[in-house]
Amino acid sequence: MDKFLDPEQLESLFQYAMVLSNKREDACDLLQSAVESYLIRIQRGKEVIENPPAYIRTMIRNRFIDHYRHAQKWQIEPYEEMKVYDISSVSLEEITISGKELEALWSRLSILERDILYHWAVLEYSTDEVCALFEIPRGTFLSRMHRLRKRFRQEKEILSAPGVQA
Amino acid sequence: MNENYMDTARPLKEQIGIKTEQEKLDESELLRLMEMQTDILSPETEQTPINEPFANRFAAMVASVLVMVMLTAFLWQDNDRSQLQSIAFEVAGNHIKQRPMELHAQSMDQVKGFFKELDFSPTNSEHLLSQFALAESDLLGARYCSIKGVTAAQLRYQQSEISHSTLYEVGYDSDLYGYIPDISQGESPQTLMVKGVKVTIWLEKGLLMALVEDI
Repeated sequence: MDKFLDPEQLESLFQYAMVLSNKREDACDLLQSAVESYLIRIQRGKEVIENPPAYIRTMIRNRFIDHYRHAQKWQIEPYEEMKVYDISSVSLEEITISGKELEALWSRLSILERDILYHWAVLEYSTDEVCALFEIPRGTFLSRMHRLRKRFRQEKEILSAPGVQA
Repeated sequence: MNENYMDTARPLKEQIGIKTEQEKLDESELLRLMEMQTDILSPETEQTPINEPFANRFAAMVASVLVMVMLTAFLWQDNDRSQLQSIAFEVAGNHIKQRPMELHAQSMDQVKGFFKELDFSPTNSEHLLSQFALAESDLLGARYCSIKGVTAAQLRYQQSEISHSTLYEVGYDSDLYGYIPDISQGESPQTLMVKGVKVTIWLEKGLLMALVEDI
């Protein structure tokens, strides 16, 4: 029975699909097709899947990228700054934000940024684990985090400016 | 999305966690996914020959039942959690307003004498004394209030020199309030942090009790 995904695991996978697609309908389709493929693979018995949720998450991500590549919306971001900024893993930890501010910023983040934030905040991946998963050099990752932090700060400033309502 | 999530500033990590968890599958979508698993993984599929051993068919039946039980338990648990949260929000909001007491009292006898309109008898909570060190002598007063539209008793206690705790008591109705941990069954009270206060909810002597403390 450990091949079966329980409701909690399905909810968590749906939440990941939502992080990527930001659309309920797309997230349901992504989840449905990834779970179906997973089930067919284990039914055929050719693969041993030790961590089904992680496996399905990867399938969701790959399918999403394929879909967006077709739609020419997924941009492979170029290798950027080699400079390592003076940031550490605590730089994002110290940011505080309200739900209003997060909602205002969330849909404007790139898909990759949302994906990274999800792995950091919800799955509690370390910097090294995120770099390995997304196959990005550490320097690129750190500069991305630096920009993210800057964006969160700017967003807070914009929303707290007089006369602005979230 | 609830008001607490929208307005309260929290560490980014925590806020992303809350935002993510708010996305839920519909019951029908969840059911479809659970059924799909049983359909594809159960030995009783179209490829299974009719004379397949009975054990396979039995295993498929057990798997289906198990999936349904898991789904029901999950939905039930989810519903109970939201019921508890809703009670916690209501009593926390009430506590924060700190409306004046209708009765200034220092004993439970005075309290019982005051509440004539209730369909239950307010009682001294043993849990309040043993776990929160709030005794009858800490009582400040009482007033009527309501929880989910049912008339309830609100008892205010002196928690420390600068803060008050409020105990809410109401007759327990499982249809209205959902599952509440019963301390007489050895269950642990549920504690929730809402609106900047701590709310502890439990069932004692057939009454739903909710204690709200400043933190």
